[in-house]
Amino acid sequence: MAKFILKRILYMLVVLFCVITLTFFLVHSIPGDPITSMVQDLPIETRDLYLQKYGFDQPLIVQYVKFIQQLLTGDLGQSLRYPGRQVVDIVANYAPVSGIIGGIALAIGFAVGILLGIIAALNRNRWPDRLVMVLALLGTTIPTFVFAAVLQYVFTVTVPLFPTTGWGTWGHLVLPVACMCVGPLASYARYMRSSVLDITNQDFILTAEAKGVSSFRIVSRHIFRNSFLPCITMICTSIAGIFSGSFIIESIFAIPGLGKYFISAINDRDYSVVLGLNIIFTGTYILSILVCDILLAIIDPRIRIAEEN
Amino acid sequence: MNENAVNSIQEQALDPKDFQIQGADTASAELFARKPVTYWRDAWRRFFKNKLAVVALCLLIVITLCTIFVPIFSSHSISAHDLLNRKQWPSAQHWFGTDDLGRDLFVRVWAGGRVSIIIGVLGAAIVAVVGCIYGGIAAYFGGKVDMLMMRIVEILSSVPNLLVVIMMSVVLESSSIPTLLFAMTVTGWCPIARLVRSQMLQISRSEYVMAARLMGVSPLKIVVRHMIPNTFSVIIVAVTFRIPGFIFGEAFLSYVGLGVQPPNTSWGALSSAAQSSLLYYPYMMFFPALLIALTMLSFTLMGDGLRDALDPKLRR
Amino acid sequence: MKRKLSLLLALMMMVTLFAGCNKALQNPDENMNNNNDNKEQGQTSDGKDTNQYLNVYLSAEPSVLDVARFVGVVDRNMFFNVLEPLTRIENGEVVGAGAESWDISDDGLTYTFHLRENYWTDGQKVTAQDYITALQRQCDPNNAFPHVSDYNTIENFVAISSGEADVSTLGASAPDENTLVLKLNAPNVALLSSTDFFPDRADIAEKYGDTLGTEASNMMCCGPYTLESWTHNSQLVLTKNDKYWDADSFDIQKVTMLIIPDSNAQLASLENGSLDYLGVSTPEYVEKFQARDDMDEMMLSSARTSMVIFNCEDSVFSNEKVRQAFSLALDRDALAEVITNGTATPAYSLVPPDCQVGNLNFRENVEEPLTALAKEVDDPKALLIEGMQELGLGDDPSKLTVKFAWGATTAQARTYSELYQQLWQEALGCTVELEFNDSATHQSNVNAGNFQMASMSWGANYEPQFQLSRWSTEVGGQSRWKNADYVSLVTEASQTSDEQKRLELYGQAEELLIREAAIAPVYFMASRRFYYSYVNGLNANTFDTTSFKGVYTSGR
Repeated sequence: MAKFILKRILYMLVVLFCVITLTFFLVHSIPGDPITSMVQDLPIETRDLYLQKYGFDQPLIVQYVKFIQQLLTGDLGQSLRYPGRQVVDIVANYAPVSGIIGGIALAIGFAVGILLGIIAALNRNRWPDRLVMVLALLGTTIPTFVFAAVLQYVFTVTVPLFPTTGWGTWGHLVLPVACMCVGPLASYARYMRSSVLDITNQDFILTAEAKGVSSFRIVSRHIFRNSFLPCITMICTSIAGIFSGSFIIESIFAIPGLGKYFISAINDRDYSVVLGLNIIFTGTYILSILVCDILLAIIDPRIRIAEEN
Repeated sequence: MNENAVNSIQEQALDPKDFQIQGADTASAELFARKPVTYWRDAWRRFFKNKLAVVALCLLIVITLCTIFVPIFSSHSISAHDLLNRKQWPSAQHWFGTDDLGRDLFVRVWAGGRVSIIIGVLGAAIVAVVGCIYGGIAAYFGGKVDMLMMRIVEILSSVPNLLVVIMMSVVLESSSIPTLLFAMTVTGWCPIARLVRSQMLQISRSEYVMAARLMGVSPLKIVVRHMIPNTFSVIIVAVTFRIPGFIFGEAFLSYVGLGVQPPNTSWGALSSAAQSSLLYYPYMMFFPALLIALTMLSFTLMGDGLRDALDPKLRR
Repeated sequence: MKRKLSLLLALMMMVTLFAGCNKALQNPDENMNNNNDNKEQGQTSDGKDTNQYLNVYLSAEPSVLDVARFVGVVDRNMFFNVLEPLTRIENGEVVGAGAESWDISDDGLTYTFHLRENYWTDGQKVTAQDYITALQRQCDPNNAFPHVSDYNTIENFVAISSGEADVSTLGASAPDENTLVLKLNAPNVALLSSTDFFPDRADIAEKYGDTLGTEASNMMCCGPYTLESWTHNSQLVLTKNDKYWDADSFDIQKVTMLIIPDSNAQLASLENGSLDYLGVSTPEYVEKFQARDDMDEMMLSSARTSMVIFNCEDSVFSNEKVRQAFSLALDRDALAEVITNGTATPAYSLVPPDCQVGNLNFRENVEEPLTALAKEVDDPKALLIEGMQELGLGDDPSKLTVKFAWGATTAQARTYSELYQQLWQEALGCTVELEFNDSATHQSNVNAGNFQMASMSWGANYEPQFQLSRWSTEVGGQSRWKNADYVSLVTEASQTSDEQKRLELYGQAEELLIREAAIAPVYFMASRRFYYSYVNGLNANTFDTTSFKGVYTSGR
């Protein structure tokens, strides 16, 4: 078991390193530079000084080596668009914000979605099933920004229940979370439904029914646990996504989150921030895959054995 | 049966003269009771039994035909502005209303549909082809080659897809459809490659392929006759499910400002352009968003139908 | 066993999520909720509310609140709230702020400022040395100050900033702590109305180093307000500085500035009272707010000109007639109507109506050059053909294809640029291709000369000097239009103290610029502000830098 985990961790580090290198060269091939995005009438000398200060006038390889050296000391660099701000501080300040909204939305979407999926599957082709399927389809096909704009207007202007924009109180959470949980809810409902249907058709369920096991026990003991497994795989990859936030929701509700920061950093050509955030996002993504793999290996012995072979 | 009945039947003497030999017709013993149905025709039949999928297919055909023919036959121009008729609600003259510059939205929506559907279908097709070839090669050669190729796939999959798309779009300054497609598919083929590879490996271990090998069928014939057709069905389903993702992805890129540029327009570009007037002129967003939803829905339902039709084990 | 493990994991996840929630929600200050300071809202004897506060909209997150490194207009406007410059502009005139009075030598090269008594919020006195510290840090090459050119008349400023001279040669000195002497290298009549001199604390700058101005706690204030809290990308809170020398003129005790990127969200915030005033341009909302009894409206000029710049080094646009044709072919009324919903005024010149030359209004005294040119030319298309023939490109405009670059990639941006495309194609018969880039790449391309026509806008300062001097640089500005007459006119004007003479010189310069069509002005930007009636004293003077002086609420 320990060997398995160790192997995976080592592997993850190698992948992370490759990704960092790839991203570095990708980011530096973006046309334009940070300073011209900010000031219209910049004299050449100032621009050169600026580039010199941040080391952009040196060959790419030199910059790369310096970057890796900095990275190993835990320094992700300084923002260019917002002088003086460390990327690490930026992440520390904004990531929890995105994380909270994303996390709660995912949790609600997951829990409610799974529940709805089970209900739909157990009532196949009757009205609960149809209703859930329609809701799920609506959830996946309505664009987020439509939903968000409408909700915002209705619940902050027409019926002023919540603050329109901003961040800080529990009230600020409600609308963004409501918008964000629709997507996961719909997809988990659909996925769980088909998963449950698959399981229900299998022989061991038939056997249990024939043996006279109560329906409740069949559902909770056999169906739920078996159909749950694939959903764990799905949620693991989604967990990494909650920190990257949703650009759309954060723009509309003026939430100081990481998603909006990332997009604006790209538009501002803020290299250090783009690179730093890329690394963070990829790192968390890889980490969550790793955690998921380990979890699955613990829960499902077949995987562990297959790996060891 | 009790003993008495048995005895009574045995007691009746059977006279050979009561029986007449009719002869043996060995030929018809091998005949099938009904016409042989190939796998594909069976799948076809099953597909058409699925009403929902058929409706979805018809809807898609209608939408595609509209995108092809409406811009050709419409009397309104796609791009010429008409400042007297700005922001008009749907009417007999303008079925979907007019936009900010007075352009007819009906014709613009269908023209945009061309781009959206092309991106959706082509994008999915590209990832499918690339994924297939890559996965097929990996599965065919096996061993070290397979390991190396799969490691590369894993590295590429480790980067969140959205990140790559955005960065690629910015780097390539994508404004044309080809560059946009490239940015969107650059890592999108990885899951399909994995899928194809695992499918092929699975099939090559199955009993009928083993039997074929034992019978002495050449490897090429095995690949062509058994492995490809069986993978094919899985791939078609996977591709059909990817198409909505590409359409939606293009809409998101348009929202962020990276999607198609004028004179091309797409459903995503139309929706995001309408966002600021959403509360006063909802019709501007309604129609493109509705069409995105319908198209995605139809592809998904069709995908469901295809999956049910092509995989007999899932027969319900 | 496995079940217990997974349950434990789930529980752990939830606990951390909850703990994280609480922590992150407590991190921003408690003043998030706009309603939490609704203490007893009574009124004083003069009708003003007892509790004076404002919630306003801030267009973007400040880059850094450090006078030596700031990047944009948002930062600069913030400085007027939290720092005390030497002078401010009030009611369209230069008035003393940090400086009580000043003397200018006869040759216009020496300015002697007599400082007023003012204190930083930690009790220390604001001295002349503080103003010098700011200048020294601004010309320090290590800070890579983006606005060096604004201070280029100060002796040796530019030389020091490019590393050629030592900082001790800077033309600024403090004979005593209340007197500041600035030496210029050439007379600059518009110095006080166009350049800002803020003070800076050397010890604070040293203490915080790179992080100076990145947080509310990393800076020192001496202006009418102090920065109480700063939640990045969300809001800033200013509280009144009672130690300020003119504190009696300020009624507003607290200002909350909200950063809201989405336009629908901004309008919703104004509608439900989360914002006290806002600039509105969407016609439907304009109508809705006009119909409300509890809101008033005022027109604000932005003193900003939207224009199309031509690359005079390009093979096609090097020809004057071609440029003139493209300039005249634009239907400015249509563009102003569609793009700004009628708030902007069509422009046939560069300098907006707000600019003054001393006490004279520029626009009232100088005719718009393009109107005269339009009268002389009947058909822009014919003019284009002439230009094409001169260039040897034949006489068929339909064979001509040109590019128009736009600096935004939003859907709206595309719609607007398509209108330009339409207008040119219809009037001139040529083909116009559109190119979209985000603002960073656009600026890059323009500054590097990679364009044929580009959309651009330039804001103006009090005197026309700033705007006009954008084209008197060595390369000829962004248009790469090298005209020695223009440069000498602009330079001479900047040194002429006689207002009438100066006006004439600026007028001649502008006429050259517009007639030779280095640019095609399109419209003067403006905005329509809606404010709740309980807000009084809002300033409509474009160039005023008086912070929230004179603003109060009554009957909120």
